[in-house]
Amino acid sequence: MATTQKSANSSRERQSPALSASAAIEFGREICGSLEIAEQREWLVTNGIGGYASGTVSGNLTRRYHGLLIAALHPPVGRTQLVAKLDEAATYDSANYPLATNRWASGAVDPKGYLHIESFRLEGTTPLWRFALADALLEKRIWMRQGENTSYVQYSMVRGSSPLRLTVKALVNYRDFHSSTHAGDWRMRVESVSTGIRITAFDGATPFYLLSADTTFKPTHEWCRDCFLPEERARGLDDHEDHLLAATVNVELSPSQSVAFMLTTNPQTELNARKSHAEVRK
Amino acid sequence: MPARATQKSESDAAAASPAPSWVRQLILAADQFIVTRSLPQEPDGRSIIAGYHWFGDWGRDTMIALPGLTLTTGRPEIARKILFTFARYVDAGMLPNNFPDASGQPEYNSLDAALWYFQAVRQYFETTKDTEALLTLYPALEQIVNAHLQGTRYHIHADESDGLLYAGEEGVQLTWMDAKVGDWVVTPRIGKPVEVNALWYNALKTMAKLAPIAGKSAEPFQKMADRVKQSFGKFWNSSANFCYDVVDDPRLGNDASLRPNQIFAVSLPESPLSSAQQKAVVDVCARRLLTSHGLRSLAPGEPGYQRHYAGGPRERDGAYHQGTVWSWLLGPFVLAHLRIYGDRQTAQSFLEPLGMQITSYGLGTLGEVFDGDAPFTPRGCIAQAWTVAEVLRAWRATIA
Repeated sequence: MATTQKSANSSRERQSPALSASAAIEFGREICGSLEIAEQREWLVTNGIGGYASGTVSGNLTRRYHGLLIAALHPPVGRTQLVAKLDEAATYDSANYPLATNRWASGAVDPKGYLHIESFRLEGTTPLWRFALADALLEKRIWMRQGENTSYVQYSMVRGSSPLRLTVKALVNYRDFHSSTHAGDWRMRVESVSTGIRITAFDGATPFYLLSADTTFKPTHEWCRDCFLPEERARGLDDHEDHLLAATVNVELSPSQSVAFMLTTNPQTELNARKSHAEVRK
Repeated sequence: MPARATQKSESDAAAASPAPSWVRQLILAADQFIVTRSLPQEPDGRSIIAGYHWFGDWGRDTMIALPGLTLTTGRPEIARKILFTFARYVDAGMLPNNFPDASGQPEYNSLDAALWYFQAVRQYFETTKDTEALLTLYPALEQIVNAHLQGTRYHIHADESDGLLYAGEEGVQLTWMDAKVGDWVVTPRIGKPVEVNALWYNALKTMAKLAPIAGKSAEPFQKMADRVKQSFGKFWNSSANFCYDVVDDPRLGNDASLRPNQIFAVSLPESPLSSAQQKAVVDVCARRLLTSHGLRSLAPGEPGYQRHYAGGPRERDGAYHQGTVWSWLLGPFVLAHLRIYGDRQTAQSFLEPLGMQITSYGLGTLGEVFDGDAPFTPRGCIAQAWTVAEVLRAWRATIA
């Protein structure tokens, strides 16, 4: 499925393969290329009501507290992990590139997307990764909308000579942020809605949504078991857990095109990623 | 490094001087801790998340962090909202210690949160001269003083014999050194803790300043403050030439172990110590507690000193205030050092290593604790409100 022309055009003008002024936090491959070093550098994005998104430069989760949407369901507390991460892979010029990194309880590291991170920086407090895939550059940004439990993850192709195919797997959960999930035969309700999918973890749970104005999600229900959390082991706590693969996306990006995902408890949230991003940069 | 265009509050705070990039980054980080806490009477209320990832909004941390996160960064209207929000929670002269994630019902097991409230109000008023807000908050301040004079939870009361604050009972931890594992309170500090009484003196002196503005008499507060100052001599351990950490513990008497809590008797605007004593406190904290990343919670060589904050919950909690370095204490240390030596460049040099620390662990922000021994590895929360706040506030004092 292709990205809609509308959103491709709307996001064209603000992309540039040249990075602007230097940032206080900026790493190249000297940091990003070493998993042991990169996973000890953690980014944090907040929403002003106690919720947050946080993870590592390398992309793997090292703590139970990491995730793309740790929602404050009773602001400013009641923090609940709803979306753990998006696992991405790209195909460009007939070659496959994992972008995600995962550690497993078995000790395996698979895939090793951190090897393709050319740079990481903070734009203000917004983390920005650049993945280098041959001559293509793919950017990833994460921010939150202030005052609501909504995280944005945006991918932009800022350089390249042919289209790139991006696949994204959405790993979700529904648990107190202090705890960890061992799923057993837990079944969540995963349904298609107009601009994405709705997930209801159990009767009475706060429903949450994966939305996009640019592409469509394919709902699925498959537990991803025994993800390893090294920092929890170091802290003497339960060091692995399960996440639910609830949706996949397969989208083509041409040079200067973007695709954005909203992870949210608010089905009426702003679907225009450019507008939302402008808000946080005010 | 070229200056970047202004973002959010950066312009307000940094406009006065060309702050280094790490300070400008921390001004952005300061925003991350400020959250909405709506109450029926304060629908637009605000609070401060003590730390990411795992802390909620704590009374003590909020009051300590408030000046650095909101006043230093030029947003007194946020400070006002936080002060008004917490005034709603004053109960038996105490402020909530924290609001648990699960139930949302506050717990009142903090001895010093209410005393830090005076210092937050004082700094807000000094910055804004907002008399209207002061008049609204004044009854809560008066209520806190009276509750401490009459006695409140956990045997918290002003001792009739010397005017000093006494607190504590078996099995509870009331000061900021609050680690507890099961029934084991690691640092019980029952009796009269030094920083609590430095805060009490500062609160009474603050009331003596504010009372006339509220149309009340300063005299009763001034009298009580004078008595506390006189009695504060009990804290001076003349053989060691620094303060006892706790006096009048019913079991242990006076605790002579070297801890950083005495630094507040120098850093707070009102000090009950003589200038010679103040200098001795700063010097001993510098020589035995200061590290690149903060002050140790207990000096190396003291019984029970823990060099690493590592391992399971029991090991970590056992080390938390037994040697582990706390970055937020660099704020009061720098302010105390400035007070004694007036040397801005030297004072600033104590903060600079944390400027480098923003490129690891929590990126663009500052965390909670570090190992007590070199190389002072970062541990605990990756982003801690009072660390960011106190470093910004102290930095500002070094350039003012």
